This record gives sequence, structure tokens and C-alpha cells, in this order.
Amino acid sequence: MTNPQGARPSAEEARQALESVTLSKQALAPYVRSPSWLYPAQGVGMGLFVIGLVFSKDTGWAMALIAVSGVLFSVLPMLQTRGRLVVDVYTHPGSRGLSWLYVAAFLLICVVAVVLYSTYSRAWIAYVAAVLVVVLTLVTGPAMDARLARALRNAG
Amino acid sequence: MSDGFNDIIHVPTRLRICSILAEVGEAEFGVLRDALDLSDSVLSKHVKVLEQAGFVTVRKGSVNGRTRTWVALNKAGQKAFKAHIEELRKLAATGDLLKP
Repeated sequence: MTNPQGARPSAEEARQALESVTLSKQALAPYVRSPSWLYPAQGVGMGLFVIGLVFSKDTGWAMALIAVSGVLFSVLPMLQTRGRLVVDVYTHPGSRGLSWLYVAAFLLICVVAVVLYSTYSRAWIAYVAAVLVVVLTLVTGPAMDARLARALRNAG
Repeated sequence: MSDGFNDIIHVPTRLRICSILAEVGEAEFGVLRDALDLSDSVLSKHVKVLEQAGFVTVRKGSVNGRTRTWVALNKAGQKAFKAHIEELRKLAATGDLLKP
């Protein structure tokens, strides 16, 4: 709804209004924190997915693992909407760069694990990959939150 | 000439509310209240105005048996807020141009 006839603020008032926008963003920073269970649960889901993916051609239960991870990934966003603040760290400009790195690292681990397993047929490759993915999620998840909070604190 | 200035959003408290909502998917009422240091009644009043203008969506839910309210800037709100900020930037820039 625009109002072309309404009185416009002066340049100084406009500057003050923009300043209040910046201060409001900064005030949001302390509240940007994902629930403590989110990244461990996400890591477990991704770990199960990697194990399922690596063993998918060999065993029937591998598909069950992929299905379980699929259910987890469907439920987690719904549970997140019960949090105090719903922020998408994957798309917010403040944390998007790191989240892309995270996704790229996850995909790289998946590909390397599948290739190594198809070459050497060693089960431990899947389990090591799963552990790596869990660690990656536990480290990068909170880092994405921190990056987003920092971007808001430094908003200007 | 396109004009993104918006009288509803420009009210200081509503501008601050929109500034926060523009950064998040949804914010719980308590987060908005605490972050902006507002009373429940003042926040409620301004959220209602924004809702009636079609800029925010209000969702109620229950967490551990307690009713909570989440507020989100919808697409119309995001568009209006973005246009308003652009207009404020233009207005602020005119001041710079006038400086000797």
C-alpha cells in the first residue's frame, strides 16, 4: 500500500529510520540459535543416509536406512517451526556461503564413500563416511548459526 | 514514477517489527517483544495493523501445553518492506546530494 500524497520524511528522518532498521536486526542476533537437538538429529539422519546409500546395492536394509533418514528429514523442519525463531540458515545471505560449503562437503563424502566402497568393498568405508558426516554436521551446523548471528550483529 | 514509501510500515515500531521479520521465516511473539523491548499490548496492536494491511501472517500453536503465536512477513509484506527501504535510501541519499 503506497501513499504518493503522504508527507515524506526528510533525508535526516529517512537516515534515522534506516538506522532503526539496522538496530532492530542487531537486536535479533542473540536469538539466532537452533534447538540443541537439531544438528545431532540431522547428523544422525545424514549418517544413516550415507550408510544406506553406500550399501544400497548389497543389502535390503540399506533402503530402510534411507527411508528412515527421509522420515527424519521430513519431521525435523516441522519440529523447527515450534521453535521461538524460524530461520533458514541455508538461504539467509549471512550464512548461505557456509551452508553451501556444508552441502558440498556432504555430497563429496557421499560420492567418495560410494566410489571407494564399489572399488574396495570394505564395510568400514560406509561407517567412516557416516561418522564424518555426523561430525561435519555437528561442527558446521552451529557455525552456520554463529555466522548468521554475526551477520545480523554487523548489519549496517 | 514508482513510489515504495509506505505509511503503514513507516511507523517506527512497525518498521522495527518488519526489520526483524524480514530476516527470519517466523518469529515468536515473545522474541519480537524482547528483541524490540516492547510491551505485549503495544506489539499486539502493531502486529494487528500489519496483519490487517495484509503484510504479516499470524500463526498460533501449542508448545508443551502453552499457546504460542508466531508472526511472519508474507510475500506482500516482504515486497512492501523492500520497496519502503529502497525509498528511504533514496530519501537519505537526497540529503547527501544537497550537502555542500
